[in-house]
Amino acid sequence: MSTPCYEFFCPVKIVAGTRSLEHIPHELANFAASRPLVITDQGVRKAGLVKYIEDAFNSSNINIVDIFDDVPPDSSTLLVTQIANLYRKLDCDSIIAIGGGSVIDTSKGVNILVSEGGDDVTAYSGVDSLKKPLKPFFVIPTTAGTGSEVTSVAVIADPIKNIKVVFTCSFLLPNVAILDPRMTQTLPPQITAATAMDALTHAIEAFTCMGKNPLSDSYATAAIHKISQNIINVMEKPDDEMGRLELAQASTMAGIAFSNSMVGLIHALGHSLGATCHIPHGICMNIFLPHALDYNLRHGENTLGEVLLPLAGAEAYANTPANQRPQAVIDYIHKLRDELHTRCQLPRSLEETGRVEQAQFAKIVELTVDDAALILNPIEVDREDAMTILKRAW
Amino acid sequence: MKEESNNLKTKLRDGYLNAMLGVIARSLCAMSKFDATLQKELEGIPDNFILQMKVLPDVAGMAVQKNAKGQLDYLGKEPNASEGQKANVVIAIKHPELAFLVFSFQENNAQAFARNRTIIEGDLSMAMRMIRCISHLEVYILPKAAAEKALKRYPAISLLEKTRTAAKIYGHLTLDLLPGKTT
Repeated sequence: MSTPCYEFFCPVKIVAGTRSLEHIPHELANFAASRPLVITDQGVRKAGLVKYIEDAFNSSNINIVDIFDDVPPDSSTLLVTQIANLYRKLDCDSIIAIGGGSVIDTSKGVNILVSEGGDDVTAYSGVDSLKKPLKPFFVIPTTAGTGSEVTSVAVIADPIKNIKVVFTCSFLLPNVAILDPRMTQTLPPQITAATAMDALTHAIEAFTCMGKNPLSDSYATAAIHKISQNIINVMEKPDDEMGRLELAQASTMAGIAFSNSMVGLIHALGHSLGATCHIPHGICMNIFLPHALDYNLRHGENTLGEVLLPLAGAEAYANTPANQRPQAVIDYIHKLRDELHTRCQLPRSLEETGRVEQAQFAKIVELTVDDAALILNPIEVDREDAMTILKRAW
Repeated sequence: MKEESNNLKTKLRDGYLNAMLGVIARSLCAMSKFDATLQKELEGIPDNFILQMKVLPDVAGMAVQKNAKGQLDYLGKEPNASEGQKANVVIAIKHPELAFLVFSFQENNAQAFARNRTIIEGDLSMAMRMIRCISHLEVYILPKAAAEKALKRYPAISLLEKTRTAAKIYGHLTLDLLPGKTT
């Protein structure tokens, strides 16, 4: 059952579909902005994706002031300060982030500094530290998984204190998110699969954890349906523009869902595995998804069965007795993971990653029980429970 | 007449919230002196760490601090800013009526989070540890029926163990409240 009291907030304008990038100059003008700084990374630059944006500005009366294309996979607060100084030096008035989670979170940090002032972004860490809207901020995701384009959170490493600093505030939400299928078309197969499983996990946890509500449910189920309908087709035909767009939209919808209902055990385990063994987040989600769902189900979780309808379709749902639907969801996910492993060797177990040792389990368990995502998991999880799930996922 | 009745109701509610938070804080401090599970959780928390819980807008509150012995000291309704005390983690409930739902066991802590009634500020991993400490305390100081509502899972403990631990908590609590004791 959905929570009888909830909050739901998503003011991000979504511009989605073919040739969406060409909408950007007009959208910038709507915010009275004309001097955008583009922030991206070398991978995006080398894949030729920045060229699409440059072309979109060529026939407009707005020019990109500069392109900072050196955001690393693990960004830092020092880099945020460096880019903020560049923004100020060039007298920019808006930010366009092109990339995945690291680029988007870095750009959120830059937007804090250039809007609020100062050189130390950590001064604005924590919950609701910002009290006014920031500079116009556009996001163009180049993966279909994180949902960062519609979340109010940024996580940036502080290399001096050696900690991850968390920023949570509705003012961090971008003004506009642009979903153009060209931006995900060149994603390699394994990243396509891992990010899709990340989005699927966002949606399933949004639907099954304690913060679920009628609005997040509608986004979550629509996202699950789009992913299950398109993931294998896109793996088969990576150039399928409409399939890519469907996955991008699903990722955004899953992002809207989980940012309004939060996540649970799968993310707690995934954050901890990622922090300990430096395994990409999407792979962590793929590994833990069925095992954590199985744990919750065996201890009394009671909404998973309804996931079968968007996941497997109306016929499978109708043909499965109600009491068997939760297990059918888990079986479906196992089959999907096997298919993705066959197609792109996406690891299904901790052992298959080749980067995890069982001696690391104790540390992963400690991090898991300290992860705030556990608060809204529908079932209690203690150290012994987390260890059991890790062993099952081995 | 109606206004007087409402005022009385509000005063009783706010008094109850202050009493409950005071009992939780002082019991937590008492339990930290002998309970191995609580002490193990506190090992992962830095010395001088301060947890503050409050009901907005400044209706009720409590603050506890971890000392160098690995135990908790009661600081009062809030950290003493003039002595340089500042909470590392603040758990705030948005309104006294919402807090009453939690402390009268109509909603458990997790439900209050899920319903956006509670705000956590500060280091979330430390907040998780402190929430586990409070949950562990509630197992022993609350009647089983209330604890089952307050927690996601009530552990399998015997009545004897529950009674014995509760007696120890209240024993330490009484000693702490004796004249001359600061915590």
